Amino acid sequence: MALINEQDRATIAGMFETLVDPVELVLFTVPPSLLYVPGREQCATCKDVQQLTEELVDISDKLSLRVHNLEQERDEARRYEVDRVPTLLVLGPENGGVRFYGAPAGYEFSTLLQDIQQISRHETELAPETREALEAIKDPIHIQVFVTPT
Amino acid sequence: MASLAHQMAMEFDNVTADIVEANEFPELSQRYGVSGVPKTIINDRVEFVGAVPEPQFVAAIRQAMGQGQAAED
Repeated sequence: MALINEQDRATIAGMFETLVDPVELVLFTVPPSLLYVPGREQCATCKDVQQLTEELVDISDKLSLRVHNLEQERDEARRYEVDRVPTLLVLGPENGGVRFYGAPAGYEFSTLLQDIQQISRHETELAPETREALEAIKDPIHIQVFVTPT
Repeated sequence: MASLAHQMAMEFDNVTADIVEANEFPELSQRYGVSGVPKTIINDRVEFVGAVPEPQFVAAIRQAMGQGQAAED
C-alpha cells in the first residue's frame, strides 16, 4: 500500500513542477531483523522511510534516491558522518548540511518537501539580517532540533 | 525551528542542521534533556524550547559562538 496517496501525490507533483536543479536523497538504513541481537542497531522506521522516499523520488525526475546499509557501507557512513538509522540527507549540487534523524513524518514531511524545493531552487526565506549575522560567523555551527511527529 | 535551521544550513557551508525525531532516539533525547518540543540545541552550548522568532534564533546562535566572534573554548 502506498504511503503517499493519489491526492497527495498530485499535490506534491504540482509543487515539484518548478524544481530547478537535481536533488539527491541519501538514506542510511539497516535491514530488518527478526532477532534481537544485543549491540545490533534496531530500526523501527527504516522500512517505512525507505518506502516513503522511494515514492517521493518517483514523483519528479529531478529527484533521486541512494540507500546505504549503515552496517555494511562503513565508508559511506564515515563520509557523511552518519552513525544512526534512519538518517536522511537532502543533497543539492553544492549542499550537504541538511539531515533528518528518524522518520520525516507528520509536520516534518512538509519540512522535507520544503527542503527539496528550496535546495533545488537555491532559494530560502531567511531574513537579510539573519544572513548578515551568519556571514560574520566562520566557525562551525551545529544545530539540532528535536521534534515529535504531530 | 526545524525548517529555519535547515535553511541556514542550505545557505551556509559552516552550518549543519539535524532534525531529530525525539521518540526514535530516546538516548539522545535523554542526553539533551528533551521534555518538550521543538527543542533546539546549538553547538551543545545554547538551547531553547519552543518556537521563537528568527531574530531570537540568531541571537541564540551568536550566544553559542560568543557573540558571533570566533570564540575558542
